[in-house]
Order: sequence, then C-alpha cells, then structure tokens
Amino acid sequence: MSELPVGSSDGEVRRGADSMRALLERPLGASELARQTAEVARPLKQDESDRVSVLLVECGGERFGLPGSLVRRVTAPVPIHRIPHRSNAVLRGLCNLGGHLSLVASLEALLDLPAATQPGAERRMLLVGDGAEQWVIEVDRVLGVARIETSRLVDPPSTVRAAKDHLTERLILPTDGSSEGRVALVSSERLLAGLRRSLG
Amino acid sequence: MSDLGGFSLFELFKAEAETHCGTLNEGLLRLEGNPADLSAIEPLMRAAHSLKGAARIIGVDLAVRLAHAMEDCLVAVQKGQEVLVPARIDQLLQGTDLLTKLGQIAEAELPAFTERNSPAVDALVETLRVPAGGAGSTAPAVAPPKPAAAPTPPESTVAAKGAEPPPPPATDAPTQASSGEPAVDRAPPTAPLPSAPRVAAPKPSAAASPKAPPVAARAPKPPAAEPAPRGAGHAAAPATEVKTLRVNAENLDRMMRLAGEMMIESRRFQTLRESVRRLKLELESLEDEIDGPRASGVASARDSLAAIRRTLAGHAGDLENMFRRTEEAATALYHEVLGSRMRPFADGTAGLPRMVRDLAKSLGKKVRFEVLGGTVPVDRDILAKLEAPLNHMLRNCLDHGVEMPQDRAAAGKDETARVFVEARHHAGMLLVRVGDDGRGIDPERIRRKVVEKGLQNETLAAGLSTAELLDFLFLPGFSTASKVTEISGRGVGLDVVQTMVQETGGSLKVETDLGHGSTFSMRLPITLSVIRAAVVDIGGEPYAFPLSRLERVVKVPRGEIRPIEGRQKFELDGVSVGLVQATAVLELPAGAAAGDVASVMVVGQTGEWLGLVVDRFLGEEDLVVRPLDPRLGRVPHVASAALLEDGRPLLVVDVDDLTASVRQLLGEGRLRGARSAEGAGKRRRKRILVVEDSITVREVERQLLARMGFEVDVAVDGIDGWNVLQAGGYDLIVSDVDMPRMNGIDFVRTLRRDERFRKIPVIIVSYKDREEDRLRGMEAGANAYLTKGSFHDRSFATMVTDLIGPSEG
Repeated sequence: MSELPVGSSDGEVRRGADSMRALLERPLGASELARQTAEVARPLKQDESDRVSVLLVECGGERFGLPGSLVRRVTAPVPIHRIPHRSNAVLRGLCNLGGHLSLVASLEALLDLPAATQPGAERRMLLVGDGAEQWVIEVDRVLGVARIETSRLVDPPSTVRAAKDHLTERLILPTDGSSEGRVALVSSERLLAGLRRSLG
Repeated sequence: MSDLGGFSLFELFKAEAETHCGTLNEGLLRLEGNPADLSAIEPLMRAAHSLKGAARIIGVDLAVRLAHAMEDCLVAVQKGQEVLVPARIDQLLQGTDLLTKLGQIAEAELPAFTERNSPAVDALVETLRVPAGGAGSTAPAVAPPKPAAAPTPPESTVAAKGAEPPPPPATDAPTQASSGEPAVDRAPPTAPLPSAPRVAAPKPSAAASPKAPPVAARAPKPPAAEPAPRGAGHAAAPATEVKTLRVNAENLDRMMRLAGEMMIESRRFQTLRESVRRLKLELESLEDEIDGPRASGVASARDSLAAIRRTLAGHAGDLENMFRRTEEAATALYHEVLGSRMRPFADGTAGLPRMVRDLAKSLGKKVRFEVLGGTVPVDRDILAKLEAPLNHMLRNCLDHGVEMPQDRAAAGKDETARVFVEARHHAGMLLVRVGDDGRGIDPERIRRKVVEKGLQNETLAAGLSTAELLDFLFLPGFSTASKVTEISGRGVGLDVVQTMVQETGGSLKVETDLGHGSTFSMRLPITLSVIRAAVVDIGGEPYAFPLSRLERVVKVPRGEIRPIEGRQKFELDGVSVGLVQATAVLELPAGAAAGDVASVMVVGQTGEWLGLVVDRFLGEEDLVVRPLDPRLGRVPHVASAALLEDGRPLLVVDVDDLTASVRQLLGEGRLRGARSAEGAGKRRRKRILVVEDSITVREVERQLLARMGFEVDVAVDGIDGWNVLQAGGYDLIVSDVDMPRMNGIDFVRTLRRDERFRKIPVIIVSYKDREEDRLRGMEAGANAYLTKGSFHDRSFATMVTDLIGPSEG
C-alpha cells in the first residue's frame, strides 16, 4: 500500500549513495566495458532458476498455490453484480475493480469445494490472467507470496479424484519433505480454461 | 503577436477565413431575402475588411485584392451608391467561395492555388468594380473610410503587397510549430486540449471578430468517449490525422480551473506524506527509547505517543477532506471534459442554407429554408455523422418533395415552399427532423414501383402497410423519381441515412401527408456513450432503464393489482396493463415483495403497455455506458453495463428485448408457440427459424415453408432471432437484412462466431439485389443470398431443399 521508503535511516541511505556513485562513476576500460555489457545483458537467472514464485491462498477450507505470474492484483472484496441468464455457480457476475468491469468467478465452485457460508474479513479478490483472459477470483485468505525451490515441486498422483485435481499442476512439498501438508499448485492454463468454460 | 500558441500564421488565417466567410455567406443570403435590410451590410463589410487585413499579413495578394473589391462593393451598397441586385449577390457569394476555398487548403498548396485561381479572381474583381444596377458612380478606387472597428496590425505594412508564395511569417515561434508538425493541426476529440487552442489565439484584428461567443447553453451533462452499447459507430479518430477542435471557451475555462484545483490538491498529499514519514521515524525512536535502559523513557515516550496520536488524528481529518475535494474536483473535471464534446447543432448546419439556396435556384424552385434549434447541444461525433444524411435528405426534399412554383400556385399553396431542419432533445434522445410542405409521398406510387421492380408480386404488395411501403425508400437503388436528375434520384442517398442511423443505435421514421409534405425524423442518442436512465433495484441489484425507452414509472398499490385470466394486471389511464415480475423475466431469484406498493416500469408503445415490477426505484442518473465483456457474447435483455456513482456496477436493460420477452411470458405474441410435448418418439420434422421484420414477408415465408412440411418459428429481428436460437435445434435459418435493433448481417456474423451455431445453414432473403449486398451477406457467413422475388419462382424452395433436404429425416 505505502510508497514510503522502508527501513534504513537517512544517514545510511546517504552513505550507501556515496559509495554507489563512486562505483558507478569510475572509468571503464574497453574490455571491462564489454564484460560488464555481457554481464548486464545476461538473463537474471543464477539464483532464481530453481525457484518459482507462488501466491499461497486459502479457499474452501484448503490451501492452494497460484503461480505468481498469474496474479496481477490483490484487493479487498467489492460488490458483485449477477448477469441475468448467464451467472452460474462458477461465473458469479461483474465487479468494478479500479474502474474496470471484470468478470468474477468462484474458485470454490470451480474446484468443487464448499463455499464459505459467511465471507470472512480476510476474504480477498485476485485479478488473474491478462488481456482478453482477465478474471477476478475470490479467496478466503491470502497467506503470502513464497519463493519455492523447484526441488520441492513433485508431480501429482495420476489418479484424479476431485475437481481440484484437474487443475493441479504440481504439488508443493513442505520444507521437511514429509508427505503431510502438501499444497497443490494450480496450473494457470487449466485454471483459465476452467473459467472460460463457465461462460457456456 | 509573439504568442500565437503554436499555430502558424496561415493556420490563423484559415481560422479567420472560416469565420468571416461564414458571416459573409449567412449575411448575403439574408440580404437576398431582404435587400432593404441595410443593417445587415455592416457586419459583411467588417468581415471583408478583416479578411483583407488577414490576407495581407500572410502575403496572399490574390485574397487581398478580392476581399478589397468585395469590401468596396459592400461599402458602395451601404452608402446607397449601389443597389444590391441578385446578380451582385451571386458575385459576392462567388468571391466568398473562393476565399473559403483558400481557407481550406494546406499551406504548401498556396502557390498552386494562387496560380490556378488568379484569372478567376481577376475577372471577379473586375466585375465587382463595375457598378451593377445602381447609380453609376465611379468605381471606388479610393477606399472609403474604414469601419472604425478594424485597425490592421503593424505587420501588415511590412508584409504587404508581397506576392511571394510562402507567407513570410512575422515571428519565429509559429514557423517552428508549423514546420515541426504537418500542416494539419487537429487533436483527437478525446485528447487533452492543446495548451493554447484557437479560441485563445490572438487575432490580427481584434475588433473584427464576430466569432461566435461561446454558446451559453451549458452542455446538458456528461457525454463521453466510451463506445456505444451497440452499433459499430464511434470509430476512433483516424490515428494519423491530428485535429484541432473548437471548444466552448467557458467550458475550457472551467476545465482549466478544475485541473488547477486538482493539481493543488495533489500537492497537499505531498506535505501530508512528508509528515507521515516523520511520524514513522519518531515512532521508531520512541521504540528505541522504551527498549532503552533509561527508566525515565516510559514517561516521556507516553507524552510523545500522545502527540503523535494528535497529529495522526489531524491527518485523518485532512485526508478525509482532501479525498472529498479531490474527488469532487475530479468528477467535475470529468463532466467538464465530457461536456466539451458538445457543440451547438448550428455548427453542423452552417453550410446548409447556402446549399439549399443554390440547389433551389438551379431547380427553379422557390424555397424558404429554416434551421430550428441551432443552439441544441449535440455530441460532436454525432454532429459529424449528421452531415452527409442531412445533405441527402435536403437534396431529396428539394428534388422530390418541393414542387415547381407554378404547381404550388395551382395547388393553392404559397409559391415559396418551406423546408426546415430541426434539432431538439426529446425524451432523452436527439430528434433531428427534415421536412417540407411539398407534395408528399404517395404510398400507392411506391406500391406500383415495388411490383414494377419485381420486389414483390401484386398480391403481396397489396398487403403492405403504408409504413412498410415507406421503408422501401431506404432501399439502395429504389427511387420513385420519375426522372433521374443531377441532384438526387439516382437511387443513392436515403440508404446512407438509414445506415448512419442504424450505426448509432437510433431509429428513422418517415411521415407524409399526400399533397402537404413529408418529414423525415431521425431519433439519435444524444451522445454515443451517455444515457439518462432510471436506476432500479431488481433482485437486490441495480439495473438501469434508459429513459428514452421508458414510458412511465408508476407506483401501484398492491390492492389494485388483480388477476385477470390468470394474469396480473392493473389499470393505467383506463387501460389494463399486464404485469410481470422483472426477476421472472431475468431468471433471477424473486426478491422480497417490499411494502404494499409495487414499483412498476411501464414499457412498450401507447396502447400496448406492459408493466415490469421491480423491487425499488432508486432514481435517475446519467450513466456512461460501457460494452459488456465480449466474452459474454450477447446477453439476453442486457444492453450494456455502467458504474453507479458509488462505484457499484450496474447493468443497462435492453428494453426492446425485454419487452419482447414479456409479451411472450404474457402469452400475447404467439411467436414461438409451445413445442415441448409434441414430437417425442415421432420422426423429427426439420425446424427452420425465419427472422424477418415485415409481418407480410414473414407470413409468406412461414406459410411457404410450413407447406413444404417444415416446422417454422419466427422472430422479428436479429436480437429476437438470436434469443429464439438459444433454444437450439434449428436446421436452417432464413433471415432478412434490414431489420431494427440487429440487422441480418450482424445476426449472421454473430451466429457464425458462436460454436453452437457455426454450422447451421443460413439463407439471406433481401430486397437488396446489388452484387455488393450479396457479397456482404456471403462474407458474413450466409450459405445463400436470395432476393425477395424468389418466392414467386421456385428458387427459394429449391434452395431450402438443396441445403437441408426434405422436411423429414
């Protein structure tokens, strides 16, 4: 929410800025320049290649991971307007998110989970997808963004028992490696496809 | 002259030329009607004089000479040295035309223009110097005393007499601007205004600027930039062309003021932000203090905390106020910007009196032309779209409607016919009418023509109503003119009008009284994007009914609602009106029936009213409509969406569509018939959907197909057809092209886009038989395109069996 600078006192900032300026303004030789250019041009990977960003949410009494790249925005719930002849269990209606009218879908219904009878105070709306495939989905709670090592991702069992299994791409193992408390990581494509189907 | 706001001198000249030529045109026409009115001459003299001065500044000698001769001529008339004869008026108009043309070219074309027109100007100047008619005084070589009003700026002396083509600009600033940008100087209608728009630009001769003062009429309310709910209209301004718009100066002032307010408000946020940052730091040091070893810390920390709390409370109050002010200013600014899109109707009709005059003259007819409602504000997009239709309708009017003077006299009418163009706001719509008191339209003649052209056979044609017959006038290539003339009657024109009206979601009507004249009325949205609507609660959610489609809102005591023949009805003006719950039509769970009074939205035409019961009437609002998410496709009964002032979304009801459904619920229109029980187990008969707005043609098609053994359902237009189609199970669709609400082409396109209907064969049957019409239909996705004459031969029936085989299978 806040745009205020976080942490460090003014003094620290100034000291840091001085040494940064010295570093940036030092003259570069040709070979050094070439090396630095290559360095800058190199995709930022080394530490990140083995991690994925996941938004952990709680919905219908279960925890899920949504690919961080899928989620554009998280906001407090706003009123939803049903669409006559079109609204169904999944397609809930329209809402106004930042002046833009978006289609709202129920993640619970899509995953076939029990819907919360009383929306809690922590319920949030997520704007997911982009362009012509933008949706708003609701979750009971946002737990936070986690950067998960890919080594903790495993393929789900091939037996599909429930609707949510269809949408699961990988399972996230807890840090202790036990099979308890595994969290399903939802597939972006399958989620969007499921939402699309709700349009009939 | 140093600050010209980025306009080149030539651009300024163009602006001046437009204004002054307008004055000349208008004034000369007035003088023609009343040559004795010498008071009308004064502004003309000033206009000619100003043009002369302006032309001198930009160094266009040609224009200087012409304007000078015109001015001299007008001065002579004013002094009584000359009588203004019609020939003279023609000459002066001719001069005005030349100057108008000069004001329309690009700067680069100037040398070519000068060369091309020099002989004509020289000849005209000579003619103007020879006194026409009046007392033969000498040509006024010495300019008579100038009207006090127009001192020419000093630059004129410097640049005078130079015939060198590229005008030597007097200052540097404007040249930069004009060379940096293409010669056009236009900004897209919705773009922010240029910092120094033309309105504010200084003029070479300040006193002589009859430029219309901003029309005081405040634009009614927000028009806007969003696309219309339906209708392809509203194409964005061509990307390459940058336009300059004339903006009402008052409007601009208000916008500037509001923008300033908003800037100041936003700066306040900055100081607040600083203060909050300081508070944060104080809190941090406070924490250190409490955690620190000194025992006294707690007491002083408490004091600090109290101080911080006070500051924060102050901030909360400030923020609240700032938020409110910012919001108010932003909203007002928004409305102001939207309002700047409105132009007085007169802006779009300035050229019409001249066109009518010239045309009437060339036809040998006498016409008195009036523009009514010139101050009515019209969205500039609509105003631009009106130009061609108004031209076509007036040409049509003069050519076909108005009789020759002798015929009029013989009919006992005034020799001079009355022709008018009128704009007014009516029931939330812009009503534009073009009418005459001429001979009117003979429906029987159209009927004969329909048969003659093979559009219908005689039996069918005999059954067409007057309204249906008048619709033929809008068919491309259909003309009732006995001879083809230069002016109209080539069969082009009125279909242009219809296309424009359909595109903007309006409607078109012709009324005619044989022997007494006819009137063409276009009902158009006031803007393409804002509607005035009644907002109601249905099933606990807000919905809007456009006022233009709403007959009335009434509160009916529940005791007055009685069931008649199993249906809910109530009395309104002595008429029994059927009632339906809005939730039932919209397939929403029924809301709680609140109170003992029902809020009823009355829709439909007089005498055929229907009542929709809503939960609550919330009020009237201007709504900026937005199209529904395209992924939804067409949603029955819903035209578009909008936002309420509190930010909640609402849906705008498609009243026509809803009315059609209500009629069905009430069982009044047996369009679709019940079909649930029959057919189970039996061999299935093939089903055909006929979409056609003319009841006559619809019946013909239905009977023809039914005789062939098909099961036939009918719909009255594209939207109705689309709704019926949702039930599924059709083997063939037969559709007309010209229909209200959604035409056949759009209908076919819509269903071709839908997976479910992509494969259903479609036959288009239309009166339009030109190759391009056929192509349009086939491109939209029709399997066959037939003309309505095909019912008489076997081609229609053959095509049906070719496409789907016999009726059972």
